[in-house]
Amino acid sequence: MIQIDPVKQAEELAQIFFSLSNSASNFRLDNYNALSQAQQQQLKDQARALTMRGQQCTADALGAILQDIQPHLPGIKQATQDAQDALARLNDVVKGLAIVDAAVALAGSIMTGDMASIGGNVQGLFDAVSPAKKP
Amino acid sequence: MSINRISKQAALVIALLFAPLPSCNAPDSVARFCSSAVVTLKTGDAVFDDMKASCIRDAQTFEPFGAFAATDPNPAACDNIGKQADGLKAASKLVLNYFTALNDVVNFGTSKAGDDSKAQAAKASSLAKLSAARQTALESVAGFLVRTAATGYEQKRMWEEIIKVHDDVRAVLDGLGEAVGVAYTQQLQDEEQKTAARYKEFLLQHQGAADVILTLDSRWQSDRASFAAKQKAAQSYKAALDTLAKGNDDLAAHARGFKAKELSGLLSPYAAQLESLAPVIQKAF
Repeated sequence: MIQIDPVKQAEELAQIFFSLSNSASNFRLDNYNALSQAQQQQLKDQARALTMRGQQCTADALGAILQDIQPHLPGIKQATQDAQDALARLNDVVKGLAIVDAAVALAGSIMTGDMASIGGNVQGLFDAVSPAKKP
Repeated sequence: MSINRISKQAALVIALLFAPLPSCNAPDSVARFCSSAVVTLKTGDAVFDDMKASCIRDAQTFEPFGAFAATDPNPAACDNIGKQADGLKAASKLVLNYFTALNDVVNFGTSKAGDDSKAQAAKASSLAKLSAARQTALESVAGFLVRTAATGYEQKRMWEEIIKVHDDVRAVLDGLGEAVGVAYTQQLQDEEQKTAARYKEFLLQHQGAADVILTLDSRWQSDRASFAAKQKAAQSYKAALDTLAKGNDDLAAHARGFKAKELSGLLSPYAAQLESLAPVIQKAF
């Protein structure tokens, strides 16, 4: 079964209508002196109608593109939200007292030279900013 | 045990604990790529706005010169184009928000977290009544630790998001590129043809008038330059979106395996290309 691409189809139709409109305009201008006023107006109206048909097909092409991309938008929206949430959590964590407590404990270990507890206190500081804090 | 020796041992313990985390420099190249993506997508707004405007200008070419209409013609087709263009602009904004969020996350680890934690550590030091030298040392250590820990976490999250949605991002960018690179370009070409036809008709109505010919010729040259700039902008925008999609695909493909230096080598050409295309798009509008 032949697959029809609505975007390409609408774009091609738009191009066909634009070309027909231009042909009508060129014919009118090439025969300007030979055509009556009424004939001039009729050709002009037809060229305008063909152009607007072309513009409508352009709108249809844009609409078909929008329809194609629509299913992909929620995923991007969710990923954006996730990144923003992660940022908010990190901000909360950094601002939280947990950091201060952990830093104080670490400072104590470093300054007293208590090597055994440095690892635990570094881990404490790490935990304070880790994703485990997710509400 | 001397303070110096303690500090060295402490540094070794800290370094070993944080060794498995990714390098801190990786976000620099990702941040540059993301921010050039944001600039590129922002420039597209003017292009989408011009879709309806081009349709209206096209309709105006059928009006005689000197009609002095107080309102623009607004055919239903132009309204429809405007509505669809607004939808595409909204989709572009969504992708822009995505790259902005990634950029914010990346930049958080390299600057904000470190600064905030230094301030917190300073507060902690003063509470613990440490000496000035020790306060400084603590601030540096705390800044480094938080920055490293946060960066590791952010990068992990960020890679997951990039890998998860890169196909969706490509589909949207391809769609936006098609709208501007094909549909809008066709519109511009038609507008150019109709503008020329309008001048020709006016000339036929005023045959032999040298001043009319000169005035029209001058206006036509100016219009042509404007059409050429817009067509170039449309093609540049499409090329920029292709570059952005390829860069994002590459980032997703290599996010986990590449080191910071390799990532920088991978993304820099894409960012440079985006940075060179954005001014061409902006210039036309």
